[in-house]
Amino acid sequence: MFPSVPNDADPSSESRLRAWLQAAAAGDRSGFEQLYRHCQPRLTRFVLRCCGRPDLADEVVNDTLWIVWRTAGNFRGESRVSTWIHGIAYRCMLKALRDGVTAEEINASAVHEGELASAEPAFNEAADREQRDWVLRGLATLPTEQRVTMELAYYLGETCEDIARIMNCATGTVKARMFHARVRLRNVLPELGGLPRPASGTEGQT
Amino acid sequence: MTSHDAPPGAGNDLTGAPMNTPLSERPDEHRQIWDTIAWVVAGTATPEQRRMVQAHLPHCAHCREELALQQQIHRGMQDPAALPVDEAAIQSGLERLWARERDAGPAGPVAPAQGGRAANDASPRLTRWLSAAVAVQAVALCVLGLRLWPDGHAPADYVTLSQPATLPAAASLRLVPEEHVDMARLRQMLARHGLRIVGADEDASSLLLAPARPDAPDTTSAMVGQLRAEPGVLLVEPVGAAVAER
Repeated sequence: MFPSVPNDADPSSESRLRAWLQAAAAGDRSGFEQLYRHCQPRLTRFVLRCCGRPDLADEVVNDTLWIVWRTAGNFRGESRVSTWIHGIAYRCMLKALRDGVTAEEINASAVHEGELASAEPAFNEAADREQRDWVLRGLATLPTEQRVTMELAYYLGETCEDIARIMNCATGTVKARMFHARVRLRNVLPELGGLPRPASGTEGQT
Repeated sequence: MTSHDAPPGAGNDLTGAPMNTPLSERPDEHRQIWDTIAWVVAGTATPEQRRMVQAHLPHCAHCREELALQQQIHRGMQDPAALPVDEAAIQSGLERLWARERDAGPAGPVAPAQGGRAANDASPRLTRWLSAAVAVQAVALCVLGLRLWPDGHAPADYVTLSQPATLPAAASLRLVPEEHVDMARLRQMLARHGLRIVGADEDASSLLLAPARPDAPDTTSAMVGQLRAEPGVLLVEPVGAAVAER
C-alpha cells in the first residue's frame, strides 16, 4: 500500500558511501571525490532550501565535505554515513547562519522568487514542476527548525531518532516540530495554491 | 473545497478524533496514527508503525486525507528523475576544497583513532598536534622567561585566589582548543578576532590570549561569545582584569 521511498538511507547507497569514506580515510582522493560528487548536489539543495541563500549553500556544502575529508577516519560506524554527513552539514549551516544573518532574518525573508527559481531544476513536466513549486513555497513559510526537520525527514530520509541526533534534541521535540510543520502546511498550502486550481493536478487526489 | 482543508476538529487541535471518526476509536490512537503518517510517507516508519497506520486508514477519512496530503508534500520535495548534474559546480567545489587542503598543510585526512593502532604509529594528526604543542610551549616558555626576568617591576598590590601569579598582564582570555585544531587554523582564528597568544599553561592545553593591538577597545565579553561559537573551541573564559570587570 505504501510505496518504497528511495533515499540515501538505502543499503546500496549506504554501502557505496561507506566504501568511499573508508577510501578517504586512507587518503585516497579519488574515492573521496566520488563521495563528493554523490553528496554535493543533494546537500546543496538541502542547505539552499533550509536557509534560502545560494551564496551560503555553496560555502556550507564545501565546509561540510572538507570536514568529511579531514575527519573521515573518525567515523566509527555508530550511525549511517549519510546521517553523519547530514549532521555535519546541519552544524555547518547553523554556524554560517550565526556568522551571517540570524535565523529570524532568514524566516522574514523566506525564500524569494529568484531563489525558488534557482532551487527549481529544469524539468518539462508542468504538473510536477507546479507541485514542487507549490510545496517549496509552503515550506518557506515555516520557521527554520520546522523546515529543517521536514527536509531531513522527507528529502534526506532521516528517521525521527536520527533527526534528533542531528539536531541535538529529544525525539519528542522532533515529533512536535513535525506536528506543527504539518499543521501549518495544511493551512498555508491551499492558500498558496489558490482556490481556482482545477487543472493543477495537485488537488483532489485522495 | 479542496482535499487540503482541515476537517472539523483539526487545524491547531489535532489531539481529538475528527467528527467523522467512529466513537469507538480512541482519540489517543488517532493522534498517534496521525503523527506516524509522516514517517510512513517518508519511508522511515517501522513495520509495526506501517501496520498500525494501514489498519487505521479504512475507517478514518481524516487520516486518509492527511496521508494523501503528506504524500503530495513528499513528492513535491523530491528531485525530478532527470535532474541534470551541475558538473561545473562540482568541479569548482572540488578545486576549492583541494586548494584549502594545500593551504592547511601537507598532511592528509585525519587517521582513524582505532584501538588496534600501534602506539608508536605516528599519524599525521599526531604530528600536527605535537608540532602545535611544541610551538605553544615555546611561546609559554618565552612568556614565563620574561615574567621571571628581574625587571624591577613592583609586585601587584593584590592577588586573587583564582589568578595564578604568572598570568601575563595583558592576558584577558583563556582558550582551550580541541585536540584536532592545528596551528595554522588557530592562527587564522586568532587573526580574525584580533588576538595574540601571550601565554599557556604547563602542558600547553590552554592558551592565554590578549588583544593583538594594545590600544584596542576592551571587548572581552563579546569576544568570549564569538570564540565560543568558533568550531574547534572547547572552552573560552575571561581571565585577569577581565574577570574583575565582570
